[in-house]
Amino acid sequence: MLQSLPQSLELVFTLDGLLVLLFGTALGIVLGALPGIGSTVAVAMVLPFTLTMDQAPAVLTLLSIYAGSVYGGSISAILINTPGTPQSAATCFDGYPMAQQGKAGLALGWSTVASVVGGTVSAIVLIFAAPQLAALALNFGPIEIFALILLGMTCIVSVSEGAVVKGLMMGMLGIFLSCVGGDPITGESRFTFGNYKLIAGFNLLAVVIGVFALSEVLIRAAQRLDNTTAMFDFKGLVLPNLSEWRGRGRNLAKSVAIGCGIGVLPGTGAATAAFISYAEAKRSSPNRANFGKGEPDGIVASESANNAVTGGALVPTLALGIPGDAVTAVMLATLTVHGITPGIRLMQDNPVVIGAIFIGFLLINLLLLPLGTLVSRVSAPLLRLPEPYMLATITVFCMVGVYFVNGNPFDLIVAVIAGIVGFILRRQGFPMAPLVIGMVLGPTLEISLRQGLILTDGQFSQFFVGHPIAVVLMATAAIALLYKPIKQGLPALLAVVRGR
Amino acid sequence: MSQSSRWLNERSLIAVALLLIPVALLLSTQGLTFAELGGAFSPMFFPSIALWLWIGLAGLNLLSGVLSKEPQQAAPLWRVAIIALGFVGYAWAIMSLGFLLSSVLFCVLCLISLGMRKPLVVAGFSIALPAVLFILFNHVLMLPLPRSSWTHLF
Repeated sequence: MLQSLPQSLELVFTLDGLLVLLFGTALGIVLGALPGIGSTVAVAMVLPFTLTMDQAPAVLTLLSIYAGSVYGGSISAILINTPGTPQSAATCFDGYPMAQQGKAGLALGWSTVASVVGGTVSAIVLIFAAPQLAALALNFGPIEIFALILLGMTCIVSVSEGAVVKGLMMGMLGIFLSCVGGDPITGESRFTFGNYKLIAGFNLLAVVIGVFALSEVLIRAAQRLDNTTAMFDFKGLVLPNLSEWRGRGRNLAKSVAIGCGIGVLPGTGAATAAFISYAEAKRSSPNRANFGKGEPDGIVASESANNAVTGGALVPTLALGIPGDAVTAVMLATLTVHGITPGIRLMQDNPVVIGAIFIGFLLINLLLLPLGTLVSRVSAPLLRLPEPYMLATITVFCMVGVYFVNGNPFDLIVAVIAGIVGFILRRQGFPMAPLVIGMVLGPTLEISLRQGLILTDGQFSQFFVGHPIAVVLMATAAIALLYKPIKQGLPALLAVVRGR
Repeated sequence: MSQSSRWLNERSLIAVALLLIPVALLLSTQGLTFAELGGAFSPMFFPSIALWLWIGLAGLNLLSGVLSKEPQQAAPLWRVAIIALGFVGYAWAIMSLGFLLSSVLFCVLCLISLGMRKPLVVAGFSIALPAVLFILFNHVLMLPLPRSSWTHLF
């Protein structure tokens, strides 16, 4: 990868490359600040605009939207007590009380600096960890890949938001949807029921946009829309003085470490990292008595951790082709749209583009400081925009996005059906991220399992003989899969038994 | 909550549907000739595993739904129904009326059903948003959005 560094630098340090980073990050901040859009929908909305771009600028645009939107979520969390993205929910606890005290600008200043530090450190972690992990995975055969993907699938349990059975069901639905169309080994059509439009299978992005964005429009339409958002006076971002940082460095370092560590684990996500980091800061901070009343340590903990997750989450995504959550699943799907095949060979096959992604991601996080200062002021008035206009805009953008992925009108129908079904399922507490993860990982899981079985004459037990890495990965997968259900189900089972 | 609504409600209907769908899909594979290919060579090998697991999980979900005493939350669904129908109409209309006209119609429908009542603002927004996107994609990015079948202008 080092050999291709000059070419990677050339890709980023062009006028186009730098403009992409600037505009992408600024747009990401604005989209992240608007409640209801979130990082996944923001990335999906911007996707069609990248179709005319080359690979590196296209991926950098989407990465800048991702990182920008995670930071942008803190703007609405602080100014209107509504997190723009779920990742910023913990920022409300101390950000909004600070705004109530007339310190909205300073609260955003703390959030901005913490986000920049968290994001930058996570970019460095990404640069060093991803190539190591990818190099290790290059020696994997189909059995090891099967075990690796199985381990990746266990993140479904983590993203199931307390509904493990429902999450696993959605995972199976996602895997099934990935099976529709041509069989990867024999080429036979499966579950097409004579409909030629299904031979190519379901378009992943159409399903993603449907279940996340269009269903969100319907969910918001079902709720009572609030068109009059109260917002505190905001005259611009105020950066905290160096002296104000005294005694907070440890909290910042710990929060960044929590964010990076959790980010690397598939499925845990930025919201979880922010809450864990906030809880840890509340436990260990010398200012713990002020938490919930406008304590900067609370904002620092939440924002540094959620931005630190972005780089961490990209480690398994880029090194192994395993998305940790919905937004990285969308990122993987968009790589495919731009002619880059995700998986364990991604880094070896595309060293220049991946190098450009690393450099660009580092720059994006550094750009959050100047752009956050400028864009937060511009995006604040947008928070007063009545929600119906935002919902109409999201729908139109999503339809454009779905249409442009393949130029196939059938994808529009798929997105609409996915949106309506997603709404029905989400109302019943079914999480949608497992469905996407199942759809992304399903094809690799199938091919590796079938290839492994063909190699071992159909003996699954042979997967455990002479494949120590696969055994370790599968054992870890089993523990990860069973730990949470047993932990949740055992007390309930004991209660039932004792009740009888 | 009445006894009938405990058994016959949105939650249980969806749980039953989620159980019946994989069963029907599995049954649909019976008798297919390629499914006779042995083990891992069969195109149905992997989907069958996923469907059986889905059935097992759907059974557990149905059981927990039946045992659950959580009340069902009612929501004003008329607005959702209008917008959902709007989605379907929009997806169909994009290919026949073109992007611009269908988007204008969808925006008007969406904004009015969501309670926006200022005609000038609704009309202005509904025309401006699709028009800006249409010009941007068709004339700047050179990625043509679908046009209507009776004119090449929009």
